[in-house]
Amino acid sequence: MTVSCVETLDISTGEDLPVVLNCVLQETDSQTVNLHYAKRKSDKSYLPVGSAVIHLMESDSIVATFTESDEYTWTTDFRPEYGKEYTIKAETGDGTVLTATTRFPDDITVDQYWKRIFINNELFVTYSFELRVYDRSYVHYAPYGEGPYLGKCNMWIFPYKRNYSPVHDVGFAEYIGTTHPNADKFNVVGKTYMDFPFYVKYINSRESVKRNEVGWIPLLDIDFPIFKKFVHINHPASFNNGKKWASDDPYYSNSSIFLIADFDSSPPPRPENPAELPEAWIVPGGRGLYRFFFVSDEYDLYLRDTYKLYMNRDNNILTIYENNNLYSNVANGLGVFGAVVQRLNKSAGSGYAD
Amino acid sequence: MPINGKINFAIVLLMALSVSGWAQNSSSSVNDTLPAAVKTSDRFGLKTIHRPIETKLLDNVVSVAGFGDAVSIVKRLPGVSSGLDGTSSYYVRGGTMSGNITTLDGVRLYGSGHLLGLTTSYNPRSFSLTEFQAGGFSADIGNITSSHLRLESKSSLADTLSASFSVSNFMVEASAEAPVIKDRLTLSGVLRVSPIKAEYELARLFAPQLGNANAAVYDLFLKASYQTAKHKKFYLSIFNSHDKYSFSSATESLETLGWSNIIVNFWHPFEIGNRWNGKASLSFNNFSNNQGQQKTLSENKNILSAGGRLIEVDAKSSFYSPLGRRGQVTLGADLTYSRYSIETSCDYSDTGLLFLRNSKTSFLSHTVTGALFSDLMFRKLNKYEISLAGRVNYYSCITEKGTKYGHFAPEGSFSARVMLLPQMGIEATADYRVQYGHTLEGMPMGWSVDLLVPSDAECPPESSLQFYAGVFSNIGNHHLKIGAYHKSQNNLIYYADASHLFSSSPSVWKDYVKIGTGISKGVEFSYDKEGKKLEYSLTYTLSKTDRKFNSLNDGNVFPAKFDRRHILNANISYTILSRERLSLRVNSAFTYQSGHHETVPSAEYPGVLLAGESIELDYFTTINNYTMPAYIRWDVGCQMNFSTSKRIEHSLGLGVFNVLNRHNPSFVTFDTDSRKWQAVSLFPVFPSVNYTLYIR
Repeated sequence: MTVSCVETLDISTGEDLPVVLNCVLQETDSQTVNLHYAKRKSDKSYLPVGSAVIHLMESDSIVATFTESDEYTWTTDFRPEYGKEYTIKAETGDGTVLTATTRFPDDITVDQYWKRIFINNELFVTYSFELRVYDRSYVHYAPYGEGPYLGKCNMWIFPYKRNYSPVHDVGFAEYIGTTHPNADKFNVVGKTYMDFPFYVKYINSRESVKRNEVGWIPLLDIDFPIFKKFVHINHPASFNNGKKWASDDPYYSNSSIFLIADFDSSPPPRPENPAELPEAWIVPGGRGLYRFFFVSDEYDLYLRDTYKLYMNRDNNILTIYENNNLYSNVANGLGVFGAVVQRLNKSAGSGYAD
Repeated sequence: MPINGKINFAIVLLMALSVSGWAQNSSSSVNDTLPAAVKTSDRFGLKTIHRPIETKLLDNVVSVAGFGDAVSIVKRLPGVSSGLDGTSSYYVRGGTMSGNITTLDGVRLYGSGHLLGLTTSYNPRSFSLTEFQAGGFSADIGNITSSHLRLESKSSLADTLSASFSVSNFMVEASAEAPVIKDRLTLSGVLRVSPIKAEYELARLFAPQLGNANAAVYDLFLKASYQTAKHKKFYLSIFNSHDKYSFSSATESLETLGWSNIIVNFWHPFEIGNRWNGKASLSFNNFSNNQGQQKTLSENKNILSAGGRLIEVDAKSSFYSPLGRRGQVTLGADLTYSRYSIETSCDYSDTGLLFLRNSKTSFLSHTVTGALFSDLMFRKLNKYEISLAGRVNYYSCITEKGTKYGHFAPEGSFSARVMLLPQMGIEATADYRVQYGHTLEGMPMGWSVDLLVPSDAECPPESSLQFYAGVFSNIGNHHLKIGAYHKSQNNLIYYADASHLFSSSPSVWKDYVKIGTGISKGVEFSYDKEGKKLEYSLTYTLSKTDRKFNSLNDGNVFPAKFDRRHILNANISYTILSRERLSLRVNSAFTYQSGHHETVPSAEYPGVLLAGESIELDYFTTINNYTMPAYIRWDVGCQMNFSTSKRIEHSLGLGVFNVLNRHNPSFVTFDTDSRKWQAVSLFPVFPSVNYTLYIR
């Protein structure tokens, strides 16, 4: 008698494999497209599409043509312009025509303000940020923002500890919190800032410190959620943080958003291979940093679907339910055509970010 | 191998018992402390619109649980599609699982799954009348769109003390009935407790690699029947069922699930004058369920949990009277208060489980449903029987946040049977019904961990419109029936993204509930032969059930998960020996069902994330795009009853579930190591034995 309950099953739904196009425009002089067929789950590698003609267009005019780098990759020398809408059109050898459109984000600056506080002889900092459209004619250093506030945008904000290395995916802070009312709740966790290590020190500090230090204002507003790993915010066209304690003080104006993260002063592991160190994002000082990604609407929808899956990737109790296709703006194919602008606030200080 | 944790739990728990050769029984018995079923709707000597489920049929059931219950009989009926192998889930004429309701003495039973869905929480010994309705519903029951399994306990007083004791591989049972005050007060009770935890520990002696598991399963039914000197009757019953399981593996994970029911029911049949009779009842119902997972991932302890509680108080009164020479009228009113609460949490911390501080999110609603109903029935013996049922409901819902929703809905049912010839007749039913309670269905295994949610503006009441027409024939002991149905459903809900169920964001689960429609049509055939020695039956259903949700599957129609095109059931029993003190019967059952549908990805492709992360994404073409291999099973069993004295009787049942040892796949999973699809079947060949001792 055999009691085996798991047996190999030959599943073939007999459906054609779609073509996958992935292209995220960056603030660089070169852009890349990945193009290939999707693969059956039982296959090990992707099937190349062979020849393909790929154009980047602006208002029906071709502004760049991609050339094949390898069987999956096409590149072109082109730097997108802020606020412009681009369309990609890819025609593969089998006649499949894929098209997608996206708008490159605005030129953004993140003005960062901070306050510091000593509690029991230890330094703590808190930050507020203002998002503005970059005014590149503004040549001198601004103590705080000038120019128009940024309108509607899509933000993904990641907190990093010091010595973050993208190679090893180390150095992420575990949690980030914000008072922004539009924060997306899908990765919210059942924590408050009180669970963060520094809170214990804060709560044990003198009452005068807690009462008088404006730097801890975000902590006095206890009703804000904490998110795991990052926070996603669809920032509205006209933003007012609505906090009673906010004022026109540039440090805490009504246009400011507040972030808090469980930065840990203990250094994260460094890459084992010293050769990889140059790729690491070394934070020269401070306790951590926030990395802002401003993405196009299409990429934002795609990322929300994808990150939800990514965050649940090890939870089979959840992924068993996942049988919906993710968002894609690629007509006649899969993948995404999007755009991203990154800003990195390395340390506690005001001024333009990277 | 990424098998779903809950499935894994069931497999480990149940297969361990199978491997270690633990036996099961094959039947319950007619001769229990509460007497056998009686036919109530077989008015033409033919089982037609309403199906009475006789206790003796339970003797012929060979099940994984070791004993038959009403659901195992229901699954043999035409128009009924089974859920996963060996479980208590079923779907009637393309309806949803939550559209099937079970009532215990008129009180709705929520979460009837028991013993990991292998059986149901109501003990067949506790109920002397069991009837199944798939159409032509009576008006006294509302909030139903698919089927009604009506269970009623014995109403007569006991003359003598009687008791029974039963043992099967998954249940130990004791029952007793006693006339506390002769001709006035009778107390009866049945208690079942599962020894599954002890059995599992025993299995671990032979298979130490099994993880730690815990299980607590029992059900209890107590009833007091009181009759005054003037023959006024009062009944009070208490029903309690409990299922709680946990399983932890070497991978530092802990899976938990559980549900429980408490029902207190008081009812009083009465007479008004010479013509009118009535019944008044007041019941309290408390159903709760939860499931959770605690797992260490990326050095973090992830705690997910979801649970719900439904508290319901119902007051109902009905009156019935003859109407002319051939008619009967019933009038009634029903008022129900329900309190729905859903609690979900998602926490990433280092201590505790289930509903930790700051991680719990609740969704609370209060609903009140008031209804007036009436049944009209006219019949002439061996000529015709016509029933009309009407019900008007007003439903109101208010949430914790003050959101209000009201809904007025009339409902109606019609059924008619007319004899055209002495041996042949036609029958038809038509139903328009509304359901105010939704179920966010999870795995279709008969586990009762699905969350119950009330209707509101965002999840409007579900409704169904159903027609059935057919012919039937009754020639001697041979009964033949063939008919066709068409059922359309509106406001079906589909939980598109169950991973959000665990989010601690308030009400976020609601954002992922999709509203759609369903169409089911089919042809049903049944033939059965009754006899003292030889009995057999054959049922066949050809059906097609589709779903359509504008926001799913690109708005295209897709098959329902348990849309089985062909369903064939054949049963036979033969009484070898039938003496006063000894009887022996053998039985066999065969079932063939087209495979159910699974949604499997057709392909995968790389995702583009921020900050250098990578992920492989699945590409799905359509929902339920893969049809599983056909489900084929053959069971055999035998039943021996014998008495050793006037007051002592014994019953012994032996059975083999799935004699062919066919591995009927319940679901598929993808092994990322071998990069191959794998089919997971739950129950191979499964032997059983059952013994019952009766003391009268």
